[in-house]
Order: sequence, then C-alpha cells, then structure tokens
Amino acid sequence: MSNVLTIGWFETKRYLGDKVALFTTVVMPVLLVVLIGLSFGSTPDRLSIGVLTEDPGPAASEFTQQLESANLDVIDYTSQDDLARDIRLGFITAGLTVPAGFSAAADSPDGQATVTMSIDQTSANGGAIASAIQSAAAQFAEQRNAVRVATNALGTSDPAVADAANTSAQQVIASTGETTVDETTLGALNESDRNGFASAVPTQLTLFVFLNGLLAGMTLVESRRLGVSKRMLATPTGIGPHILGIGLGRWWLGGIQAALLLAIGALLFGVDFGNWGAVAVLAVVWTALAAAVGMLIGSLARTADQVVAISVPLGIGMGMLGGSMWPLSVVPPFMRAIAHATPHAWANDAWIAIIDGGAGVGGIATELLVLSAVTVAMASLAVFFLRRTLSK
Amino acid sequence: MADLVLDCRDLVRRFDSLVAVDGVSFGIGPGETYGLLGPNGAGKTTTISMVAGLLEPSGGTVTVLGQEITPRSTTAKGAIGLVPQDIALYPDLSARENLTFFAKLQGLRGSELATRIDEVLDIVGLADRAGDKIDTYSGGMKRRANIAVGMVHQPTLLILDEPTVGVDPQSRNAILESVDALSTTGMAVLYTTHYMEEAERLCDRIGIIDSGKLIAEGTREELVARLGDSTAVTFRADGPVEAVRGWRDDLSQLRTVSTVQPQEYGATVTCGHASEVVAGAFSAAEKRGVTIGGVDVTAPDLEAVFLSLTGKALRDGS
Amino acid sequence: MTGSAPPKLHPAAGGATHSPPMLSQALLIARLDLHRRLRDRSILLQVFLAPILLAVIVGGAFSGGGGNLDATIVIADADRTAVSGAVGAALTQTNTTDGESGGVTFETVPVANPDEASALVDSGAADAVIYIPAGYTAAVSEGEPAALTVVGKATSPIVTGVARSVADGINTRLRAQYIGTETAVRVSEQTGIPLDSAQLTEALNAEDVVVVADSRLTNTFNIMSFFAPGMAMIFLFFVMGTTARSVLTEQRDGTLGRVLAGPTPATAVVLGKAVAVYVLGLASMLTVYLVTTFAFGVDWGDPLGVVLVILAVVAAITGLSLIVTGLARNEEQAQSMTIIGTLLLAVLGGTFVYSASGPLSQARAFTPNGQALMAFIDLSAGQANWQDILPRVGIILAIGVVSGAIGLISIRRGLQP
Repeated sequence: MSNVLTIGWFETKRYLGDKVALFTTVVMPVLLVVLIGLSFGSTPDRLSIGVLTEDPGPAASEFTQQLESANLDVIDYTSQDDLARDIRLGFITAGLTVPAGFSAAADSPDGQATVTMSIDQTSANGGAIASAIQSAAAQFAEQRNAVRVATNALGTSDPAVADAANTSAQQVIASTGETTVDETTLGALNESDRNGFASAVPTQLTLFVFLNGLLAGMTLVESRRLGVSKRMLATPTGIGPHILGIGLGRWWLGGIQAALLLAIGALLFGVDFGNWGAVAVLAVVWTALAAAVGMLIGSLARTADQVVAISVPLGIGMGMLGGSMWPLSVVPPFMRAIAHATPHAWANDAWIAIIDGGAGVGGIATELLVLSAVTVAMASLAVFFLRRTLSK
Repeated sequence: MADLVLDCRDLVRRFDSLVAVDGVSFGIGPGETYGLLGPNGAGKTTTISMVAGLLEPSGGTVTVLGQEITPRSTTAKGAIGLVPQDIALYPDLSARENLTFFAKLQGLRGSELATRIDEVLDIVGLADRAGDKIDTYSGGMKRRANIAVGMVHQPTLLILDEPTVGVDPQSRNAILESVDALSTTGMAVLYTTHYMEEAERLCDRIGIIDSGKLIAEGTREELVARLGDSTAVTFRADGPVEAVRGWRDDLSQLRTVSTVQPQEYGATVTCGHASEVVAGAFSAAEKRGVTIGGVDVTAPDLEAVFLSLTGKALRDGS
Repeated sequence: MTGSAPPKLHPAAGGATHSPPMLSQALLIARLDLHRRLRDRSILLQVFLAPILLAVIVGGAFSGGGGNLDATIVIADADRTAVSGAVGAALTQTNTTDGESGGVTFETVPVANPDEASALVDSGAADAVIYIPAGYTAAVSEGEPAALTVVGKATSPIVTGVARSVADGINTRLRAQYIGTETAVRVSEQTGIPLDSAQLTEALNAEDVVVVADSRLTNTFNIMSFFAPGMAMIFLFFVMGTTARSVLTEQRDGTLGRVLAGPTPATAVVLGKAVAVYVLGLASMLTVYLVTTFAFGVDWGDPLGVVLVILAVVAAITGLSLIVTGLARNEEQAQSMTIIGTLLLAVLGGTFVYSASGPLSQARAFTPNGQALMAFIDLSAGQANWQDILPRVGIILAIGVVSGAIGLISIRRGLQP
C-alpha cells in the first residue's frame, strides 16, 4: 500500500506543476459554476412575456404597466423578429404586440383596441398566459368597459351621455368593494429552486471531475510511452499498484476539485447542501469512478492525443445524456431511461436526493452501490488491458 | 568564374557571440563532386544551411548559377536539391508519396513526374518498397529515401549533409554507390562528411574545414602534395614517461621530419625518408631506454593532411 | 520572390525548369496536410461524429416540446351558485383535447370548506387549487369586497402563479359585470333614458374595449440546430489546435526545413496549412449541417445564410488557430493553449449555456462562435434571411481576418531563421 501512496504522491506533484491541468481542474469549473449560477439564478416563479409596443400613446404605456402587475415577467422588445425568435427558443413564454393606434382606439367611444398575443405553435401554455393577459386587459379597461356597456345598453352615442357614463363609472368603481386573491402555498421551496447554485455546483462537479478523470488517461499513456510502466512491472511493485497509484493521484485531485466547488457553493453562494456526510461519500465515490474510467482509457489508448480525442466528446456527451447540462426532469421518459446508462444520471439523482430531498447516506444507497460497482468494474478492466498491452 | 554552379564568397555566420562559419569561400563546377571535410562541429552543416538558403549569412554571398541564394530567393532554390542530415520525410507516408509531394513542390508534373520518381527509386534501390510507409523502413533505407527526395527534381546542385552517419556498412556502401552514380549525370554535388575515406572515394575536390574556416582546398592529390613527399610513420613505443618524452624530442631533430604527433603509446611522424627516420628512431630509443613495439608506415592521405594542418585527428576517437 | 530572370541551367540538368506559382504550392501543401490528417481516425471522431452525436442527444432530450407546463388546476367550488358553476365550466372548456401535449388542465370539484381545497393539493390531486368560498358570487354581484383563495405548492411557483392569474381573471370579469350594470343603471336614472334588460345583457356580453387576439408562430425550430453548430465549432477549434502541433512537429522532424529549402516561400507553407485546416473545418460544418438536415429533419433556416455563416466562422476559427500556431513555442504549449482556448470559447460563446440575459449573453458577442450561434439562431428560430445576418457575418470575418493576419505574421517570423 505504501507503494501506491508513493506513486500517487509522485503523480500529484507532477500534476500540480502543470498549469494547464490546474486551469482545467480549478479555474474552468469555478468559472462555469459562477456563470451558470448567475445566469439562471433561482427558478422563475412567473411566466415571462415579451412585449413589443408600437404605440407611443399614454393608454399603451398604461396597459403595459398593468401587465407588470398581473403576475407576468414583462420583457421589453423593439423588434418583431427578435420577439418571434425568443419565443421559439423558449426564452419567453409568449409575446404581446401592442399595435400602433392602440391608444386612439382605446380612448375613442366605439373603437376597439386589439393586442396580439404570439405563442409557439407547440406550446401548451397558451391558455394559462392568455388568461393572465386577458385579466390585465380587463383591469386596464375597467372604466372604459363600463362606459361602453352603459352607452350600448342605452342605445345612444350622444357624447353628453358618454360623459355622464364616464363620471358614473368612476363613482361606481370607487364605491365597489375590492376583489382580491389570497394565496397560500404548501410545503417549502426546494433548495435548487431557491438558489441557482444548488444545481449548478453538483452538475458541474459531476461534469468536470469526470472529464478530468478521463484526461488522467494521458498520464498512463505517457508513462507507458516512457517505459515507466514496464519498469514498474519489473519492480516488486507490480502493475496493480501502479495503476492504483496513478489513479489515486487523480482521485484526490478530483477530491480537491470537488471540495473546492462545494466550498464555493456553500460559503460564497449560500447553498444548503443538507447532509454533509452523504455529500462527502458521494463526492469520494464519484471521483474514484472518474479516475477508474480514466485509467481504463489510458490502458487502451495508444497516444495521449487519442486520450484527448476520446475523452472530450465522451465527457461532454455523457454529461449531456446524464443530466449535467440540463435536469433530467425536463427530458422525455425514454431519454430518462437511456440516461441511466451513464453514471452521471445516478450521480445527479443522488445529488438531487441529498440537496432537495434531504437524503442521508442511506437515502442514496442504491446510487452509491451502482457507482461503486461501475468503479470496481472499470478499474479491473484497466488492470486487465494494461497487463495485456505491456506483455505484448 | 562565370560557369561555376555554386560560388560561395566570404561566408560568415554568427550565432550571438559564436562565429560558426568564418569567411568560407569555395566554388563547384558543373558535374563536379566537392567534399567538405571536417570534424563534428567544424561548421559544415551551418555552411550547407546557408548554401541551401535555409539560413541567412551574417556576411558574404552564395550564388547558384549566377543567382544569389537567401532564405527568400525561392526561384533560384529550384536548382538546389538538399539531403538533410536528419531523415526529413513524412513517416506516415510511403516513399513514393513523399517523392511525389516534394517533386510537385519543385514543379514536376504528369509523365515527367512519374518517370523521374521511378528513376530515383531505381538509383537508390528502393523500387520494390516504394509503396511502404517510411516508418517501416530500416535506417539505411530511410537514408536512401532521404537522398532520393533530394534529387528527384534533377537539381543542378545536390547537397548531401553527412548522408552516411549512423548507417550500417552495407547500407553505407549502397549510399556511396548511389552518389557515385550521380557524377555521371552531370549533377554538381556538395558532400559533407567527417569520414576521410568517403571524401577520398567520391570527391573530385575537397575542402578541409575546421573551426569555421576553410583551411585547405584542392584535389586529393593536390592536398596530399602539400605535405611534400612525406610519409606518415607511427611508432608504438613504451618506457618511462620522461624517456618517451625525450625520445619524441629526438625524433623531431631527425632529418626530413616535419611533424611529430604524440600518441598515447608512441608517436606519429611525417617525414621525407621513412627508412632513414625509422633507423634513427630505433637508435634514439635504444639510447633513451625506450622499447619500440611496432612501426606502421603509411602513404600520405587526407588524414595526414588534416593532421598536419590542424595538429589534431579528424575523428576524435570515433 | 527575387530574380525575374530564369535561372541559367547547366545543360546536363533536365527536370524542373521553373518553380510553380506560390498558390499552387500552397494547395499542394494543403492537400498533403489533409491527406495525412484524414488518415488519423481520431480526427474523424472529433470533427464529424462527435458534433452529430451530441446534437442527437440534445435533440432526443428536447423532443417532447420542453418548457411546457404540465399541471392540473382544480376549481374548488364551495359557493355552488349558477355563476360559480359557469366560471368552472368556462375554464374546463379551455382544456386542450389531446391529453398528451401537457399544458394546464382545469377541473371542477365541489368542496365544503378551505381545508378540503388544501387537501386536494396535499394529496397530489391538484397542482394548485382556486377556492371559491361560499357567498363569493353574491358578494361580487352586489359590489361587496370578495376574495378567492389560491392554494399552491411551494415547489411549483409557476403553476401557483398561473392559478393566481386565472383567479384574478375571474375576479375582474365578475366585477366588471357589476360595474357595467351599475353604471348603466345610474346613467339611465340621470338621463331618463329607459334601460332595457335584454339590451343590457347584450352590452355586457359584447367584446371588451381591449381584445386579446391569439396568434400561433409557425415553428420549425429544433434545438439541434443550435447545439449541432455550437458543438461542431468547439470541436473544430480543438482540432485546429493540432495545426500548431503539426507545424512544430514538422519543424522538429526537418520536413519543414526541406520544404523551405526548395523553391517554396514560407508564406506558401503557412497558407497551405491554413487552407487545409479551412477545408477540414468547412467539411465538418457542412457535414453536420447536411446530416442534421436530411437525417433528422432539422431546419437551419435560409440555406444561403447558413452557408455564409459557416464560411465566415470557419475562417475565424482558422485565424485563431493560426495565432496559437504562431505563439506556441513547443508542442506542449500548443496543446495547453488549444485546450484553454477551446474551453473559454465554449463557455463565453454560449455553446454550453445560452441564456437570454446575464453576463454570458454579453460575452458571446465578442467571440466568433458566439456571433455565429446568434446568426444561426436568427436564421433558424428568427427565420431571418441571409441579408439580415450579413452584419454578424461581417463581424465574424473581421475576427478571422485580424486573427489570421496576426497568426500569419507570427508564424512567418517563427519560420525565418
């Protein structure tokens, strides 16, 4: 075992001397976590609507102000094309165009002001957002509607009557009791809904620890190329400890990386990770898994270039599939099933269980078991293939 | 001399404070093979790099067929073929693919290209392995492929930089035969080596370079004649250190002796009358109490010329 | 190229009588470079396969019309009047007929008290409840204060918000009925014009002053048309980093010196390498474009626009790779610069995270791949045509020209002895 530690420490020292490696292990993930956390923040609690106002009149601006107070997240647009693009991209739920002539129509005795709500044809949120807009429109036009009802009911377009109706409507509105909506919510907000970093930290941790683990294969290839591996084989150390040693070096580098990300999340961005025991166990198992897969790639690849060529697409692809780029809750069920072919999906499930579900080690036992089994399998395969390659 | 193929005048190259080539001038005529002979580090490769237009001279000029050669003179470089000391070939490509690429860069096209490639493959004896990757070649085959690429475009001047370094004797012979065959094609050849035998065998004229300076030049006969009618005599001698030293002093006093070069066990002497010197050496040895274990008399050669010019051996130990 | 006079050749020398023009030499070098690169299968993996595979993963992940709410809002009616019944009926009518597409589904459930309403949310029968208390409609139709209660889950704030909007709508509508009627009655009294109840009902049911019209955007946008070019550009930069390494390797192996010893100017060598990389990049992007279009039915938008952006962005990435080639002094440096450059471009350019707002949305305007992504999105999601994206193409090309020029100059300097 002391041989393993010796090799492990040696590999760590070599690694820490490599500035690029430090950049990809430390700077990149931290940068990504911060950027993603800042970009998405907490989960939005309102539907967003893009508003394009083509009418400069006072009624138009009064209407858009009404939208703001109608439980909608209003984003201003200046071009129909941009509005349409962002609806299709899903950045906003719907668009609303307030056309030129809106104010004139709303203020004329018999005019009709039409606003157009645009929504993606695949969206099923149309009804929900339409009712919010209609509610805002009705509130905006409360007095005007009342005047219109009165003049129509009396069958006159006499301006004097309209004036009288206007005064009456104002009085009626003033004397009418308020209608309100009381809101109560049950349960507590999920940590990851409350704080964007609560999901950014574990997903980027999963992604980058794994990617760096894969790239550790380069170390093994390099040591094979230099003949170090063969020399190791000739010493009483043997090949198993050799791989373990290189893997160990990466294991605790992954651990440092994970600890750094978790510390930043907890201390800088106030994420409540819940059960730290479970967090630690999961992080340790995940870093071991990443190192083991890296050793497997390192034992199979012929050149360091090959390791890079395989690792980068593999790391990113598995991250995408396994829910490190977006939550698995948004993908269709069949993709969720496929996702569990990657260790990432299990790890991400475990993180959600810990952070949002308050699970302890027992609560993520299944996930830990799966991840450990994968680790052992990968490490064994790595030893097998390396022995075969070296004995050629 | 207007019809010189290559004309180097006062070439100088400095690397910071080091003067690697210091005022070298020589010329090569059409169809002539010129050997640049000197020990490792004498400035051979630096000289060649300037001749091939890879290196900007710090001073002096190189002209090939009357056109000045600098790193920017691309057109004139078409007349030169360079065979670098390293195997400068794409290892993942075959000999034929390498030849095709470099020949096309030189402007060869179509049937001429194909014919020429077959010709040079024949000359270097690689025709049957032409389709194999360079990676799979032996060291000697790689060297020959290296030469083939340098001459594929039928340059007016072919430059070979130590083409036999690190090659087994058999391949070396094959390479020398290839180069020998070139002289019949009318190509001017600039050949650098630190093997005296190669220079003697291949070259019409030889320039001896040492410490960046061209110290002698001429045909083999001319160079040897500089030694006069002298012969090199090597004595293996043994005895007390003081005695041997005194004996060597005695040797230099003998008639017709021009140089005495101390050896670890004895000395090498260049002289006019070998038999007289040998007799004198024996009698001097007897007086000093030195035992002469053997005598080797050789006709004067380039080795001796080099020795007499620089006071040191061409190959230090190798 | 110096010397306009043709070289005097010795009669014995046949062979090449003139060196080929620089451009054709550059193309020769480009061809050889491509030939050698394509033999390396890892290039094929990175340049052609990886972007398509990753795009397919993304396509699969978002095939279900992501972003739609999938929630049930229950109208818990404790009022049980004709009006409250009509409110519930009106809402359930808006339910989409096919239950699979998600969206908000309304149900009405009669309840006796607020606790029963909360129990619906607790039990999971509803994601949110709009509770209509007993006496609610009576109060509203008399102009008295009235309140609805929305019960939602803390974990689904958006659904709660939607329920709140719906409740607001119910309030506003019923209140408007009272205000309209009351106003008409008062005006009738003031003016002496008789009020006909049938006419009043008609007036109350007439359209409001402000009408919300509904328009559906045709959408051929597929998230693959965002991720596929994004990924392709990142892998491209990564592969192009190998240009730097190949130049350094050739320098070390002597083949570069050999080429330069011939009638080939340094510019032709650099140009040749750049052309090879450009062709490779172009092939990669076009493959990704064609495969996603024909095999997966992705619509990237105006083909001319797509091709223009591809031409420009490959040039820009080529330019950046030339800078790496010019700056890197050894193979290790080249590798480092490539990895760091790739990751920075990916993050700043929005390949991984493309947000509408925040610092990242500002940063991407300064990267060629970010500009290209915006142009691709304008073409696909924005249905812009090729003229619309010309400004972006111009910016991308400018990045390419500037970086390419810097790269070429520094490489040339490196090649000079």
